[in-house]
Amino acid sequence: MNPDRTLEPRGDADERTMLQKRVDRRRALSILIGGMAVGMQAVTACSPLSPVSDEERETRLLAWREYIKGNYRFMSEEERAETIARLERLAKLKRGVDVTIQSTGAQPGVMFGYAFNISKCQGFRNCVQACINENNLDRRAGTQYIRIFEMEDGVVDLDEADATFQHEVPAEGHFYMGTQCFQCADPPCVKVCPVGATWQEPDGITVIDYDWCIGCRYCMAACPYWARRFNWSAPEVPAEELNPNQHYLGNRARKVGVVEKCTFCIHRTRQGRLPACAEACPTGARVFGNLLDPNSEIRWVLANKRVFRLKEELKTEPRFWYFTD
Amino acid sequence: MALADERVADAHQNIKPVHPAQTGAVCSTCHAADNVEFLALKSGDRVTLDHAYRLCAQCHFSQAEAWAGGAHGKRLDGWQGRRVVMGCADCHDPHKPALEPRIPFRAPQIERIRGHDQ
Repeated sequence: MNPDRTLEPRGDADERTMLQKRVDRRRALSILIGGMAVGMQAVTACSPLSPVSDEERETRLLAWREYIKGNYRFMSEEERAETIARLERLAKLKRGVDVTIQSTGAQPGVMFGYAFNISKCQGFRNCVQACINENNLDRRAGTQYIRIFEMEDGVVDLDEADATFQHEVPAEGHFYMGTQCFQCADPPCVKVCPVGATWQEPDGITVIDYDWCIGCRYCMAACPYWARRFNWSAPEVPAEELNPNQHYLGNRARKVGVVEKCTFCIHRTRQGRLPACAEACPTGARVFGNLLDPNSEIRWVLANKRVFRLKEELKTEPRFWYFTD
Repeated sequence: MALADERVADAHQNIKPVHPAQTGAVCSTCHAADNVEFLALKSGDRVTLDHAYRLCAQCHFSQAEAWAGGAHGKRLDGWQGRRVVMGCADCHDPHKPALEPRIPFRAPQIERIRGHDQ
């Protein structure tokens, strides 16, 4: 694996100038129209006919500033801090919840990798449950990032596999194979995005800027593993079930019309913790670690076990291996 | 099974000796004869229950190798830093080591999905 290739996408410099120009134009617009909006609000606020509360006015202003902000990838540290402060405040104003949104970057010398033991998985779906809770997945639509496929012993055949089993597991004569976003080294989803709203981070995680995504779903068509999910409606998570530990590129609040996917729990893994799915697995089928550390568990699995990747012939280079005992 | 018949009613009610039944073992195959709080290795050494992996590895050597390397078992403290892992008996009941079958967490709300039309 060539880490250089994954660090900087091709044509990044050109892309940067192009997007920078756009951001500059956006900022000019923002000052112009933002000023007008604030002015208008000030006028209406003075009017006795308009019962707009202070909180309502603050919400509108913050929402407007959020609407005209740039792509996260090209924000300065100050701009990132500002948008995070706005998002945290908006969560408080709109929903009354206290959330913490990180902008933690990739650790140097880290490339995440995942291994899944198909001899061990029993199909309990504890990983699915943990993922839903950890990543604030839409409870109403029932979004799940992870699919566990039930297959007959002897052959990996996704055409005949069933991900909707709901009977006592493990079923006789069957094995279980989990899929999620494989964080490909050469991700087709990133290539097709027309607006640069999804990209690969230096630690190998492909992320989405939910505020830059236009919802065209090209990435969903491009992904050979069906790893991405679309929000057909505004995601709903009860306030008492909300995970307040969030990341800008991970489990923060999504909106209607944008794509989301597994980020290897970016808010946890960048702080040295395991993804929620690996932590929740009662069978020990899930191995997670740093591919660049020769002493890591994932490297031991790759060196000592018979491994394979899904649809390897597509040359997407998933960083997600399957192995058997 | 003789072992089950001879159980002391008030002390071993929760013990289901499936593993001894499968392997033809008796209590003293694993436990020290004079004190069940210690495990007796074939080498003659005795270890505390915290070091059950040394006892288990006497038979389950391939699992022990995978456990030491990282392909078997569970890591507790995250992927970074000091490696803390679960011991054998933290997941497997030594007397009944297999996981119980059960109903899984709810299925995704989709029509039956297939490889090509996912």
